[in-house]
Parts: sequence; C-alpha cells; structure tokens
Amino acid sequence: MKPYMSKILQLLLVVAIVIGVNWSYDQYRGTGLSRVPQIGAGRLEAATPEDPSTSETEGDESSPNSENLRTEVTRKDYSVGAVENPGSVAPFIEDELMLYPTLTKGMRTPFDLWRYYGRGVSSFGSPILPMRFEQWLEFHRKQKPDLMSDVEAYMASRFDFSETPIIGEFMSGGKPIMEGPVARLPQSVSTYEELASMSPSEIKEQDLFPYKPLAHPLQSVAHMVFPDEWVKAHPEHKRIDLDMDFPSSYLPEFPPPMFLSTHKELGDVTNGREVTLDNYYEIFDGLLTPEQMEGLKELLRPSPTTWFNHTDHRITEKPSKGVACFDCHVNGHTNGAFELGPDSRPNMARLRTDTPTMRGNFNLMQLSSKRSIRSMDHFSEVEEYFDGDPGMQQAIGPRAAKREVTNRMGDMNSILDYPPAPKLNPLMRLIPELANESELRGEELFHGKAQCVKCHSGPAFVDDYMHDLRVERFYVGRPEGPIKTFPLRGIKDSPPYLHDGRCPTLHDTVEFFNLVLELNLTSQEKDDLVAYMLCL
Amino acid sequence: MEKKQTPNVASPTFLRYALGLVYFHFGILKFFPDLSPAEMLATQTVMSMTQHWMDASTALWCLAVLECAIGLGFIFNVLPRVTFVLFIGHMIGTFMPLFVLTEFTFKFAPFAPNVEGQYIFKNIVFLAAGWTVLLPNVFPRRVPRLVSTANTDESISKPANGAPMTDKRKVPSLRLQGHSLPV
Repeated sequence: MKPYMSKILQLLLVVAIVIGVNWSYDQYRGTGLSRVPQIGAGRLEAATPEDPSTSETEGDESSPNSENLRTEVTRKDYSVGAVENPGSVAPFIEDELMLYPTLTKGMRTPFDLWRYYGRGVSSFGSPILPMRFEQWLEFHRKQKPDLMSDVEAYMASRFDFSETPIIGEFMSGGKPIMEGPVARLPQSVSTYEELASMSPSEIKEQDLFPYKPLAHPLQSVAHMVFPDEWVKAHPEHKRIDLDMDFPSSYLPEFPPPMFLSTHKELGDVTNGREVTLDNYYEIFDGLLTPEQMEGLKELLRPSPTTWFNHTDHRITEKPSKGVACFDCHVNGHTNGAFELGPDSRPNMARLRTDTPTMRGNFNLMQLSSKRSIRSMDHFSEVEEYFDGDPGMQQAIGPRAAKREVTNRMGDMNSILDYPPAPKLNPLMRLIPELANESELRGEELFHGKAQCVKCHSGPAFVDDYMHDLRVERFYVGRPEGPIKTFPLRGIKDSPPYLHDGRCPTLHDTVEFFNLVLELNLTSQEKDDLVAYMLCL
Repeated sequence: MEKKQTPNVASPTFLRYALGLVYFHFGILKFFPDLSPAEMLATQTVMSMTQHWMDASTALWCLAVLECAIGLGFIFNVLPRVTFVLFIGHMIGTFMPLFVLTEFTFKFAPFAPNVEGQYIFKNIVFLAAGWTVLLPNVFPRRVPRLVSTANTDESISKPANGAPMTDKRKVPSLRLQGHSLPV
C-alpha cells in the first residue's frame, strides 16, 4: 500500500469515530438512560415557529394517528406562545451550567451544586450499597477527615464565624444571638452598601454575590445532619460520613423552650428539658388531651429512614432505630439539623433545607418550603417518610403512620405556640412605651421602604404564599424556583435563615433582601430592621 | 568482521492501530458528558488524586484530551516519544483506582477485584502492548537486533562449496542482542 493511501485511511478512521460518537450522543441524550435532559435543544425546537406551508404539507403526508396529533398539538401550543411572548419559553442556558458528576453513594459532591443540572437515571432509590458494609465503613473512615477539613475551609471562605454576640439580646431560652453580617464580601468590594449599588447583572458578571445557596456537604448520601450538641446527647445519630458544618453558636438553642397555646401560663412547659419518650408522660400527663398525648408520643417515636435504620444501608456505625420528628424539631422547635428538601429528583437537584420550627404551625395555611402541603395531618404523614422513596420500603418497612395517627400528631402540632413577644400588641404592632427608637424605626421600615410586610404580614408575619425571588439573577446557577415564605414571629430563635441557612444571622438576612429586592437601605436602616425583628 | 543487520523490527502495525483506535474512541467519548462508561471511575480518581482541587468536568475533559492525543499518536505513528510518555503516565493513572478507590474496585482486596477492578487489571495487557509498539521508536538502541554469526549475507544464500543449507557450519545462527523486548 502506498504511504499516502495509508495516511488517508488513518484519517478516515479518525473522522469516522468522531462523526459516529457525535451522532450517538445526539441519539442518546434525552433518552431514559441518559442523565442529559433534552431541555436546551427541545425547547429551542419547540420555540421555533413552524413554516405554515411546511406544516400543512407534512400534515397531508403523514397519517393522522394519535401520536402525530399529540406531537403537533404540543408544538403548536409552544410555537404560539413563543411568537406572542418569547420570554415565556426562554431557552435554558445550558452552557453556563455543568452536568451533575457521575458518582455513586458516598462519593463526594461539589460544594457549589447549584452550578450543575441534569436528570437522574431513576426516580427510585435502592437499599443496596455499592460495596460491602465493612468497606463502606472503611471508605468513610478515610474520606471523612479530608471532607470535613474541606467543608470547614469552604464555610470559612463563605462566612466569618467570629461568634460575636449582640449585646443584651438572647433567644427565648437565654442563648446569645450572634451579630452579623458574617457572610464574607468579595475582595473587590469593601462594603455591603457598595455591593448594593451595583445592578444584579453586574454582581453576576463579576461573581460578587455573597449569598449563593448552600449545598449539602455530601449530597450523594445527604440525609439529616445533626448539630454537634444534639449528637453529644444522642450519639446514636453520629454519622460515619460527615458532621455539622455550622458552629453551634449560630444554631438554635438546645434544648429549646416549649410553649403551648393551651397553657400560656406555664411558659416553658419542659423546664429546660428535652422532651423524650422517657419523660413525655411525666411532663404532659394532665396537661394535654388523650389525642394530643398520643400525637406527641408519635412525634417522639423513631422510625427508620433512608440512612438511619437497621439495615446496612445506613450512615451510623451501629444499626439505628431511626429518627423521630422531635429529633430535628426538638421540643416542637428546631435544633438546626438540615436535610434535603424531599421535593425533587435527582438527589443532587434537591435543595438543602434547614429544619423549620413547628411553633405556630396552627397559623400556617402552607407547610414545607417547596411542597405546599396544606394540612398538618398530611405534613405529619409525609414527614414520617422523609425522602418519600418507595424504593427503600422493602428494606426498612412501609409507612407506619396511618391517617388516624397523623391526625393526632396534627392535634399536638396545633398547640405548639410561639415564644412570648412582650413588645407586641394584639395586632402585632410594637407597643411604643416598651420599644426603643431603633425598634420603632425598624417597624416603620418593615411596613414601608423595606417592603417586608408584602410577604410577612398577619399574626404570624407570613402570607402563606410561595415566592420566586429569582435569586439566580445574581449568580450563575440553576434557578431554585418558588419557596414558601417563612413566618417571622419568634424568628430570633431559629437561625440560620433562608431555607438552606445561607444567612447565618438576622443581619445577613437583611443584607440578602436588601440586595435581592434592590432596596438600597442604609446601614442604620438595616440595624433598625434587625432590632425590630428581635422583638417579634 | 561481524556485519549487523538493519534493526528494522517494525512495530506490529495491527497492534498499533488497535491501541490507537481504542484510545482515540474512548477518549472522544469523554468529551461528551454522560457518554463514557468509565466516567465515574476516571473522574473520581483524578479528583481524589488532586485532593478535589479539580472538578469532575475538568477532570473528564483533561482525560479526553490525553487519551485522544495518545490515540492519534498510535494511529498516525507520530511523536513516538511524546506518545510514550503520555501513554506511560496514563497507564499509571489507570491503575490508581486500585489504590485510591479501593472500596469501589475490590470485592475483597487485594486478590478479589470486582468488575471495575478487573477492568483496571486488564490494562496490564495494554501496557505490554503499548510498550511493544512504542519502545522500538523511543529507544532504538534497545531494539532487538538480528546479528549474523556468518561473515556475509552471501554466505547465507550462496554456500561456497555447494554444500546443502543444512550444513550447520555454514548456516548462520541468529541471536538477539542488547534488548529487553518481548518480540
């Protein structure tokens, strides 16, 4: 064979491989086995108006079976929308995001998961580990130190946890409240006011936004991460794979006081104790109705979860009885444990979610940050099986709590009261004689310039709507969509703030909304707002 | 005087093409996220070795470039020394999961690999094949040389006294000299 013929054949071989792989990828992506959704191309195609003449011709030639009709109707709807309102079907900006990394249970996940997208291979989980349990233990024994070291470094790069308290301000049980803002500003910006003077697109382009989401530090496993104080008291919840990433001083007090709407005269009915299965009867017998007592018992009864259970598919060294509602919602409040919101798949798309307080749930028309649950019974029912994964049921057992039981859990849930707010009158306005000037100015701002009241209104300071703040205007990331408004009544007791805890202090929360709502508040105004929220 | 024959031991062409094809094809796959079945093992290994300084997509892209470069080197038979260095580096990398992802490559270490572990162990065949193909071009002095013990080439084809070729005194014996290659 002549040399040049050989070279031509070699070149043809290379070109054939490139074309073949490229063709295969086009065919493969978007199929059931692919993690690459066909979003970008599909939407672009759908948003492109069809040439009417071409459509008619195609319509004449094709047989009018139901599949063709269905496709045509869908495309027609999209194309009409695209022509009349192109913004409504804006193509997904695929180039800015990365596909979720391919990994399996236990493997480390990026801390900036909001920059990724993709679909899962399946919606259903499996109770099978990718290795023997002994190997699973050994793997995490090796991985955990490095992981936690990186987590600490990452959190230190995001926040300045100087643990400086606000002088004279305490949570309802007496724990000092931390001062902020503690989110670190980028080096190129010297003050939050300077940052607030920039437009969202400028902040995004220069990557300056200090309140990007927080991801679960190990999202391939995820599940509940308990605060150090809790784990000290409940070593059965010590995880083999990771620990809490927030310092205890920036978390709610443990154990928190518990207030009952039916016994306000008693104040903290627990007298500083953590309510457990061992002591609940002693504390509450004679104070609660039989239904409430049964509901409380159920709230205290552990049930197996995806990773806290008696099987090998677990993240505790020894088999676990599971987790009770009150393990995160200690004393009907929160201990600051976080998990992933059980509202989406793949697991890496799920948002990190802090435990919200159960105090004042009787006032809420909507529960859960993303799922818009409308009743406390339903809330109790679905929370029992937190990850909502039937793929796990054969291993750890089906849902045990039936409707008659969850009703009673709801009965107990509905008497968990807010902490006292002595400076508020019955209409939830400050009593001028009890409030100082800063707090009064804060109230004025709350109802005026700062626009807080537009979402935080009524007796619980919540509108019971979900709002899409479109925070992705400020950073490159996957949109998080609408999230439920959290009530502000008793808010000083439940740091950190926002659904994922990205605002460790009330000061950070004010800075966050000052940026996101483009309020241009002054430094004094922000302090006043914080002073006001400490009264709620 | 001993005359050396030309050390023209050609690389096994088919083996070279086979290596190039596999490297280039599997390398190209890595340019397309979620297409390569080795994606998880490869990216996790690189990320572990870089202390997670490198993210998965960057790791995958770097591997894709590396494997395609090696593949093209094999197919076009160009830059053998560069290809050799890249190849050896890559081969070392392919064995690293056995050490950094032990739990994911063994059923029971170190003698009971799982499917992934076997997949990696088999790379030793690749290593031998690549070594065989590339080394003659990289270290020509260490190429096996066929050396005749007879004085001239003519002595092989034309026996002086018309004796039959089976005469051991006249038939040159060939021996390999100065090499370490499996030929």
